[in-house]
Amino acid sequence: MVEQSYKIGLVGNPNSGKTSIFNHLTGLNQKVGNYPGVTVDSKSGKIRAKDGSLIELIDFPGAYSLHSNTYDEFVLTRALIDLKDPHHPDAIIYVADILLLDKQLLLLTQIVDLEFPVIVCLSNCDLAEPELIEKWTLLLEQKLKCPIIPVSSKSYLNLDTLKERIQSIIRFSHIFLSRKNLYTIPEHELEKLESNALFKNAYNYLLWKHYGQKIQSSRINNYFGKEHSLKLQIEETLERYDLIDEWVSLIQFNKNTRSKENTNKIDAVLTQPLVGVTIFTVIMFFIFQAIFSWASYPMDWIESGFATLQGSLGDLLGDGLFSQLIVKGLIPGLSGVMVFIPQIAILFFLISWMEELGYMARVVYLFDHLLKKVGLNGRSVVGLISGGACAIPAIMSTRSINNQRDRLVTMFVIPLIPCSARIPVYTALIGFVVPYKEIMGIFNSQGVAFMALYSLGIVMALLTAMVIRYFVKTDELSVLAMQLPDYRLPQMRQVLMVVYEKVKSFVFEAGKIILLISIILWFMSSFSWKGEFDKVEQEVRMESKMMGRDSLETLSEIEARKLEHSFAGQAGRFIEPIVEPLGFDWKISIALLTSFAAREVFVGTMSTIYSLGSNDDEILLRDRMALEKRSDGSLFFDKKTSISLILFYAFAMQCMSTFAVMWKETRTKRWPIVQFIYMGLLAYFASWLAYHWF
Amino acid sequence: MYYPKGKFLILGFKDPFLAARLIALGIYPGKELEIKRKALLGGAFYVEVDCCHFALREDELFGLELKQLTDGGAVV
Repeated sequence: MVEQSYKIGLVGNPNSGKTSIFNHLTGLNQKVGNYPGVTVDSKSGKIRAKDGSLIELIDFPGAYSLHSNTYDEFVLTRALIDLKDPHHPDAIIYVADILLLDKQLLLLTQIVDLEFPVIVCLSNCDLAEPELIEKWTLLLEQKLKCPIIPVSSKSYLNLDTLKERIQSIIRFSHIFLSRKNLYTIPEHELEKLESNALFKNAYNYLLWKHYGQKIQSSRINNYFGKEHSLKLQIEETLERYDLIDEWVSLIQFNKNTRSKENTNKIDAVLTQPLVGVTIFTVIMFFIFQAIFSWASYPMDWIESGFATLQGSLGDLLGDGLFSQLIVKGLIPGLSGVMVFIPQIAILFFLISWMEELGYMARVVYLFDHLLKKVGLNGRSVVGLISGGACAIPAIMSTRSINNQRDRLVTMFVIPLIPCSARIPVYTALIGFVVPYKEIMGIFNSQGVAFMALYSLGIVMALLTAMVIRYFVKTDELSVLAMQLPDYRLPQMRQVLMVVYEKVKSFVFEAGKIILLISIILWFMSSFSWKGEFDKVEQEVRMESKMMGRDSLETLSEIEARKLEHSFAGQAGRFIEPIVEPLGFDWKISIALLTSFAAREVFVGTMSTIYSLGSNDDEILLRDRMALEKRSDGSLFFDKKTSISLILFYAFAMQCMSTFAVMWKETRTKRWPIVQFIYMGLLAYFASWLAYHWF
Repeated sequence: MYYPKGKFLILGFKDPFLAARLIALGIYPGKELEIKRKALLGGAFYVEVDCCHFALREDELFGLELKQLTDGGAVV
């Protein structure tokens, strides 16, 4: 039998301390999903009340009002006013910062008018005067007729009391329903609201008249029309503010008690136009260094750990089909998932620390205008810069962008920013294009070429953003208007919870897709039609006898010829006519296919094809590639072919993990497919142009 | 282009869409708004209302009807 559970919504303004309370109440027992129709995360967790009843706690996105301006806010409005919504709560825990209560009561008054049983948590009480806490508590208890609990997630004040009170909110819900409405719907509007049993009360029905069309456009027409709807919203909100101002004057709340002195001092530096941008550049350099360089140590450990496991299991399981599936398909796939964990963990540790501190809102303020011009958002800057190290955590970091179109455009262009996986490919090829030469005694020509390639990627990303934004439809207004929270020292527990959640969602969601693609690629490069490999092996052994190759050379040649005759090799030959205009042959075609696993696989595949054994040394490969000739005797890797190949790797989406993460983050296959095709076509035309130009 | 720094009284809104957003943030007629600084190259404004800080785009600030109360110089 399925146990009945109650749904309690955790609601509040952004930065009200809501998520800290959610984390405290649910611990690691959280589930991240999404709200239907939008890519807004829904976080929920199950807790058991003292009486044994099961409670599902839903952490709704922060909102200022039920009159929604953003998708995040709309998610809350829909869940509260639509009784059929799967996230519709039975009761609400409302969290409001005691130092910002005059600002954060608006949404509470709307929720109270919807007749939800409510517990109000006054957060940050460790920072407020006891007298202020007492005054607000008494006043709100009297006005709202619901329990008021002063809490602090920093000092754990009353958090256990809150847990105990949760069950009472369900059991005594009828007590909360005897309140008088705080907002009086104008007579002339009330007359139009015919009674409707589908809604809790007149205010619920009024909100439905505002947003019903957006929720169920097929059934309910917009009752008010846009202009009248806005007029009513404004009138309602101002009336609520009058009431709140009355309460504020009753307790003689001094707004100057807010901890703004430190914030003013810090912001005088951090948001100063030139100094602020310079400081942010230094911070981003530090973040870039962390994910580019520091993460490489744990990444190496993970890779070598899996390599050891691969070796040991290979010895243990022998040479059968099952063994190959495990050793050559599953283990490299798992390694390909796990290897990203250090980068994801480090990036999100730093980002969420800055978010908790209140700094990320300033970053949005500093960069909004510059990035808005190309269809991006102030928050896109973190994703774009992190993309220089790895697109996977960078795409995941765009979750903080609350405008859905800006977020999608940012995710779309991030893979064009040159990531660290392109470096081995560039290293192997750049020598064919730019010979090593010192410039002014400090720079070298190949370093400058690297810099040019990075710049090219950034320019292409910005140009793409300028175009793609016209193809992403949204009914959401692009607004910046946002509150800049006061600076507060981050709580490490919250920061680590974010890291845990991001890593978990990557491993269990994108990881499945990466593993699947990895096994398909392994199958394609390791199998062929029946008897094909035996035939190839016999041929090579006979050749080797005649040519006097030693056993190591023979084995390398067998590997190369097996790859050539594998399904991947046949697919490479099949697509050869398509890539021939770019100057590529079947060998490069195979490398293009296998390096969809990750760009750096190009080096390993080319090494195998050139019979260098399983060698990942790009310098050794470059020396071998330099000897490669075309049928007319000319060098294969001349300037134009090499530029063509470099540009292909610069622009093509040669990364299954990026594909998987895009799939997961956009919750649709459509966008990663469009991105894959767009980047593929861009790469093809850039390579074609380069091959015919030079 | 130069923008005056200093304190202003909010008299009203020029655009109802913007009004709905700003009112929800607590920026509405009768409140005092102080322009403190401006981001680079025509970027956003850093303003203070009711001892809270906000970032507003140029068109969002210009969507407000303001009356200057004190002159605090110019914001570039």
